[in-house]
Amino acid sequence: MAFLLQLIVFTFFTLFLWKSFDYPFEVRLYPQVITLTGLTLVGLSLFQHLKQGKGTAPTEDVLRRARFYRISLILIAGIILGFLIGFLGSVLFYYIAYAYFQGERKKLPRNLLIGTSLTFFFYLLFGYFMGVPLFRGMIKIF
Amino acid sequence: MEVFTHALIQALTWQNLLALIAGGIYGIVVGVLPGIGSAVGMALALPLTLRWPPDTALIFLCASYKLSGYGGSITAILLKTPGETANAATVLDGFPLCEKGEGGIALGASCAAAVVGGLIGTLCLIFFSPPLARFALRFDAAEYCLLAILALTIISTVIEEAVIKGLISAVIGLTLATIGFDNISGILRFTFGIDILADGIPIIQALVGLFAITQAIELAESTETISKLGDLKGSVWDGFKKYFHYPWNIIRSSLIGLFIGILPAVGQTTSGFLAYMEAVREAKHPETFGKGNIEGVIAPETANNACMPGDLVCTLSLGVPGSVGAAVFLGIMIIFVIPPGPLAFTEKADVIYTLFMSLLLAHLLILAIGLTSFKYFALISLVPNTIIVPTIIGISLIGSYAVRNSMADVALSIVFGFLGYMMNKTNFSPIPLLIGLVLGDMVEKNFHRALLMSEGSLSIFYESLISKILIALIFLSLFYPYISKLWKRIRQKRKEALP
Repeated sequence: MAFLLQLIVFTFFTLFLWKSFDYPFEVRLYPQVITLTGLTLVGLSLFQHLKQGKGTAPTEDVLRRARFYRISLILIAGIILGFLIGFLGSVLFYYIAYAYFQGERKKLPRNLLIGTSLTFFFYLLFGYFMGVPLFRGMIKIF
Repeated sequence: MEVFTHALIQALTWQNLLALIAGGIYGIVVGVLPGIGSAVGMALALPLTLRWPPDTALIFLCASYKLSGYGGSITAILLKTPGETANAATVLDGFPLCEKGEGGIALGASCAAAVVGGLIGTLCLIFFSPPLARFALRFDAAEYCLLAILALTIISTVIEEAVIKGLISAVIGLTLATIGFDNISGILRFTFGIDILADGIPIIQALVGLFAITQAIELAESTETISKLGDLKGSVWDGFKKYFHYPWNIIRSSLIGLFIGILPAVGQTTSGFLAYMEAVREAKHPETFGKGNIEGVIAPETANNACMPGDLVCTLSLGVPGSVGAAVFLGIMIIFVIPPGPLAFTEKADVIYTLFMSLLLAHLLILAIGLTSFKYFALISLVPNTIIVPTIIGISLIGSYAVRNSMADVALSIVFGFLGYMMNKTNFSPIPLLIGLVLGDMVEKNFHRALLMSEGSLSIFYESLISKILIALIFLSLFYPYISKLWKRIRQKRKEALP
């Protein structure tokens, strides 16, 4: 993952450096200094990475990785749901989906109750008392 | 004196008092929950305070920052689970004391440490920050630019094993800060056709993503549950009184905490362990440490609590954060349009001094909670992850949306969340990135101003004595990890050479 991230960062700096040539000298001077510094550092880091060699790769914790995929899926699905039915719906979804994926499938009514109560609490705290606008989604159920 | 009287009156208004109490209680809750540190706590509470007056909001957030450390000590003693990494040293003797049936005494000593250490630190903050800020007024554009770079290099090189990665992280932050309108010419830069980026990368969304969402993902990965709450025996009041039987330990630990706090990037965890080691070194019976010695609770807790206000000295007076929590607090100050650095003491002096007074009052709150209701807070740590994780996500997303009523901001927070997760996994600290993002504007503005003043000559960056000192410090901070490694190797070789 470290190598992949460094490649992403390298691409990020290159993209900014390339784009900076579109702007006048005074505007591009600082970003160019910064991105060139960044590219040098990433180059050094990649060199270090390659010099160290692959070595023995750490044993992958399959369970941790599976949990990471689950939470990522829940996060993204929650955002999409948020677009459709708004925040309160997506918050309720987070409680239920997360408990479900954590293996608490038999306790669904309890989790549903906790999720609904806390979602209502969020509505009261942010939407009602604090006046914070809560996105209502395209469908506007809540 | 008039400033202090006015600030005290302001701090005692019902809104600010309420914010102090609520922030303090919230801070203890955050501190009690393992894995959720003061930085995440502040990031989560930020959306709640966005519509409040700046002084009330800062009091709430600063009280939560101050008391989260105390909250962490409760679970460190009762559950062997430090709420914050800063309380890790407290576990060493706090939990054995609890096992011996002296948990109450340990909690009483920790409460006294929070009050005494915190008061010493806060008084230092009040009396050291203004003169330091007055000194900083002598700084010109070049010096400010170098000062910000110094802050970034110190924070980036704090992890000895990953110096280059830390620096890369800081440069990513500086690069992200260039997105949006250029502050000299007004030309729109690096938006790649995405309208929402015209105003730049918003600090709140980055902060929420890098800290709160990342934390939620990491918590979701682990299923560890916290042990059961132990029996609480021993009088808290006795522990409180016993604390004052060790004046030398108190003075030494406070000074360690203050010194470590003022140093940029070295945080409470270091101060706690350093004070603990010193207590062991100075003790008549060092063998009793680790088996339930009250001095093993007094030393780290006093140092931690003196360290937190020490962290804020450089944050408020120079705009250079002293720790992760201070970096988040600096970002929050910018969000509330309080200029970081010496200008805060001239343009927003009323807010800053009210904050100081509230910090002093926060110690009364610690005293009240510490001697009465600490056990109820410890119960909070038994809340399962299935509730904590969705709650963090929910609050984070509401906070991200509330700033500009934009779902794109929510997506941005998620992106930063995954970025923070990836960075943590690969030993790239996200902290320099956040500080780079916060200080990016200051660096660029002063870089351009300095060049304008010198008509394009780079000599302005090394002409003055302050600049020369700052450049020397930048190089020292950059090479310190390597020098330190080399020094360790030489010492090791010398040891091995000895018969």
